Amino acid sequence: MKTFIILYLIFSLLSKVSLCKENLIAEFLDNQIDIDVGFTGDKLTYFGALNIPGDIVIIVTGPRKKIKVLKKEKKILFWINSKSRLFSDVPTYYFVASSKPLSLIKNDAFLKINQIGLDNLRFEGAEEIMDNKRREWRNGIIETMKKKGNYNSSNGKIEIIDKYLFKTEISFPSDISDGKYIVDTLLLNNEEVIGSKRSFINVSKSGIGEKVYIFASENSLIYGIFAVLIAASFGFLVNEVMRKINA
Amino acid sequence: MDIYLPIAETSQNLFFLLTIGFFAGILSGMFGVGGGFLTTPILIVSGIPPAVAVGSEANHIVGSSLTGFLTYFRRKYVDLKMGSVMILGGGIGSVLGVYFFKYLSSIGRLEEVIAVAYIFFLGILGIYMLFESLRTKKNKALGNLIKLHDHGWFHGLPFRLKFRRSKLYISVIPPFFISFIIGIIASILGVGGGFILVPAMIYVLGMSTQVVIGTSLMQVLFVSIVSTIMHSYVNQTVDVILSGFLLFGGVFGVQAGAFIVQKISGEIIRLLLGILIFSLCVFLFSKLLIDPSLLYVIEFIR
Repeated sequence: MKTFIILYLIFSLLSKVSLCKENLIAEFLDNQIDIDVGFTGDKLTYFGALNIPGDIVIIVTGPRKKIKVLKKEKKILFWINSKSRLFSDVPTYYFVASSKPLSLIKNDAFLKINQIGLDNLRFEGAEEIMDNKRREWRNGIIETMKKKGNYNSSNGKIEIIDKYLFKTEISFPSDISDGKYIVDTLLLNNEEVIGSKRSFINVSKSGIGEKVYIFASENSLIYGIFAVLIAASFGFLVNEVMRKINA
Repeated sequence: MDIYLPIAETSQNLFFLLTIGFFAGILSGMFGVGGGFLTTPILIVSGIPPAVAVGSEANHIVGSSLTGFLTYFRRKYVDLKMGSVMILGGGIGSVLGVYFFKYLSSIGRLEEVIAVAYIFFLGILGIYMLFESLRTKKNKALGNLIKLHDHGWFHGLPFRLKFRRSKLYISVIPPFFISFIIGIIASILGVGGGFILVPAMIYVLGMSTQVVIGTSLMQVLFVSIVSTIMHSYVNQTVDVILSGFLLFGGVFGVQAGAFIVQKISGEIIRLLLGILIFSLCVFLFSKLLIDPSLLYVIEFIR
């Protein structure tokens, strides 16, 4: 069924491409992620079509947030948190994929300015420390986010089929933040950007999970009392059941 | 099958949560304790953020301690007068504890304090239970009698009251102070505090053992209620979905515990529990020694 939908969409995209002047058209099968009680991460399919052959770069950036980073260090025998630093403007999620290694597609200055590729991500904050130390912290953040599955790069992994079609899968771990994710798609030919498209992924908490989250953050005192009442009724119920059994 | 926990903001296996709840229930069915001293470290090790594990466990203990408290209350094994002194101390302690918790979190020391405190308490408790279960076995064989309590200097402090049910005429300062300290510890560690309170009531206060567990449950119940509300209000770290599944697992655990306690002798249960607690302590200790998989810990600021 899913392949049929994809095929249908690809055909309709192709007809669009041949009809209009756009060099690049790309679309999600579904651009909405709902974090409900059953949420364990998600995978989105992103695909598109080109009018002129070239190289494709896709960058997905989650909402940027302020973070506190703790660094573990070995003191005598034990691992303890030795220092903490504040950084801001840190993407909660980052994904980059391209049809060729990034350095073969575009010059470094362009990649750096547009923060394309994990090596070119920039964060604000922690200006109080020396540049080389700061770089160490920055690399630590990126390494950690990569291990947790929040930062991914699969450069050279997008396959372009028959010169005009491409498809990629973007996966999200279970602990992603909600918000608007920016998806930038670039089409390049001989180091020149000949097409670009910006689209969005909406990640939102939903269902019971959303209600609990909103309740807990907006009415935290009443939520606490409510939590006590639920637990107390459980406790009371168990006691009643035990009495029935023992009687 | 995994389930998403909205406050912890991560997903966890449903059966894993039910199993932990079940074992905590067995403990409360057998000993009338909340089981927080085992549940919280296991939740933390399994990947629940420490702050959420502590807040949600406080909520879990409200349920499990109420079950036990009602049973003892019906049988009149509760010293309400002593309990009132203790909930006053415990309540104030737990409010302070929650603010101290927030402070530790803000300076980035929370995880370590929790880990070290657990290693300390689980270590002492585990070793104590192992030795005690072996000693009572020997004593039973020799037919020794258990000694009566000694009077300490602190029993004679001012504000003496008669605690008829506890068979005591002592100052209110020691029980108030003990429950105050335990209130602080309970809020920081996500425990009820029964495992420290019960020995303190027997060996330090010298209370009549008949009312010790019921009265300690009264204090644990009250402290966990205050602690849940305060954690929710100050830190927003109480996950009702998480504590709900723990409680649900506990429904069956409590009955299993009540059944086991009738079938197996107390020393063997204490010996097994001692081994379990001590191995958890060793495991937590080893985590401080082994190279961490992630050198950096990242916290998003809301």
